[in-house]
Amino acid sequence: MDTLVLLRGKQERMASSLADQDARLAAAAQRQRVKFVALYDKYFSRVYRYIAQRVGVQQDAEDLTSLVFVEAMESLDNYRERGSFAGWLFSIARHKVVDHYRRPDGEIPWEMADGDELASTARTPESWAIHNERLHHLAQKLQTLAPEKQEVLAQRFFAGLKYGEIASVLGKSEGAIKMMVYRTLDELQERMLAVEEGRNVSE
Amino acid sequence: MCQNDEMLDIERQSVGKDLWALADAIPYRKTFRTELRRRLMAQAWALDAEKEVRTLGITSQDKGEARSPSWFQRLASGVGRIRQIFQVRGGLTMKKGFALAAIAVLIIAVSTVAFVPSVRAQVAAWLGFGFEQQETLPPLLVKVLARAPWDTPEGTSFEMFTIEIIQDRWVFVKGAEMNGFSIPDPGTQIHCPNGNILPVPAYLPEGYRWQGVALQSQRIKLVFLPLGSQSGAGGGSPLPPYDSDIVNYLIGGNRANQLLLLAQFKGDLDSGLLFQAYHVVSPAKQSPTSVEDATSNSPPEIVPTPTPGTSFYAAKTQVGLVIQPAEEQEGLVFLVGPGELHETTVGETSAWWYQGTWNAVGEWVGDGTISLIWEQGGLTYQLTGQELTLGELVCVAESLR
Repeated sequence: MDTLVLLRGKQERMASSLADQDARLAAAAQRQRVKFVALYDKYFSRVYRYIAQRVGVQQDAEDLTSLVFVEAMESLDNYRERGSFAGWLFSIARHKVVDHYRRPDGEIPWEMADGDELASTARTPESWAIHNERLHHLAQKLQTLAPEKQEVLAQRFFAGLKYGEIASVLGKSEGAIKMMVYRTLDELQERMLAVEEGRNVSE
Repeated sequence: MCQNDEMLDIERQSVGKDLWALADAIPYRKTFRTELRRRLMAQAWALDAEKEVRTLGITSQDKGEARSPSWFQRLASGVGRIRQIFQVRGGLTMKKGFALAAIAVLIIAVSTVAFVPSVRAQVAAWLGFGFEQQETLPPLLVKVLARAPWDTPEGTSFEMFTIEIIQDRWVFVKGAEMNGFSIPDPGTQIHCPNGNILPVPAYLPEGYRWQGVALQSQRIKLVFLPLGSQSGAGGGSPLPPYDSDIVNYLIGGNRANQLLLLAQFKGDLDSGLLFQAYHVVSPAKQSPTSVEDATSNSPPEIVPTPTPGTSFYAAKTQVGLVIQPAEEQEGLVFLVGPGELHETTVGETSAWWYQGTWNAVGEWVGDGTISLIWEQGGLTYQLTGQELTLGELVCVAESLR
């Protein structure tokens, strides 16, 4: 119990330290915009992956990622330390995605891009082959979830936001977000089991 | 019930783990990431320049008088235990009105467009043409020259160390590769033979590659030249002891021979030492035809030296440090020329930066060289880049651990 408390305390301190680091970086970038590049380096992959999951097409993901960072840099003076920087940044990202879907041609299915230029992952090509089938199924099943459920999972797992940050982005309570994530994970698990057992669950 | 909850948690963890893996599996193009970064840097630079105009305009209006040249005095208050005092030579007067500031910003903007490769590339992209970029860069070969003459007042002791960069260094690349040089992991540290610890940058600007390649050769030496170990008295009274306390490394460079130098200073000095960093860039590499053309009109300042195995002539780039006793100040004293000294931060640490450098005959050259000075872990660092933006330098500095 003591260990757990200590661990939790450590995690909280780490989270707090990361938030402090973001706040310091943001404050420095507010004074001097060239320092925004440090925040860009830190958040690029998370923003890109969140958007890529939401819009599904590489070109759109790149366009929207550009828009998010340009807007974030230009409107950095609007960021206040009240909330986390990540929450603020992903609010912009979410709005860009929403705007994207408002366009007539916004609905395009998710697809994996060519892996030749992969910038992330330490997986070996061999393990890629093993994992891809399951990941593809997961990606497909993710698409079958209700949009708000997809959104909350995208923010949690693709954007890497904490529950509190998701709550601030979506304007809900942290408890409600936790519950929603748990329930959606359960639902997704059920659908994955259905795939593994070779039976179809009615969508 | 408890067992059911546990099972649910495990299942959730399993799906969650797969979702993390899926997120990791989403690829992005490296070139996109780099291009967007560049674009943001250019835009950030413009925003900062615009902000500077506004600030200077307000300052000028409010005070109704020119600011005194207090920028170097601010530094005298120092950071930590090492005093960094900047001196100005050349009778600096800094009356800045709004108009002057606007002109300065215009000059900066034009210089940025003209000289900063990333901005140039951006402008080129807008105009509909582009540049070819190389992905790999051979190790940079340098040659240690003998101590060069320096025009110092009689009786003044000094040290001067020069590294000559062989611009047309492709001839030596294969030989260096055959020696099996290794590249350290970004963000690590290197323990140097003289006891210094050199932090390896986790970040290098686009197009720059790590240059800290050790290669043993009598004729050619690569980087990792500890200047302190080369010390010897020059001129009058001996210099205060500083052997192995001051090191200047070439930590990066690009294909165009633009260099990234990191000087590391330990502050345990009995008395003041004056540092005057300099570099000399000879005219860009020219083809024989263009050299002949130039010769027909006016003789070139530097006689080109033929380089074996190529039809081009090699131009020379020299970088170095002149070290002299500081007569009135204690600790480290960085000697810079006329111009603005700006305050910034590296991480959470106060830092200063200035633009320009000394040339080999002691003249201040207001070129694209930017030097950033800050204190970290009890050491003072000076990071100097040619044709790099301040943001890029700060990123390099912040990546040193």
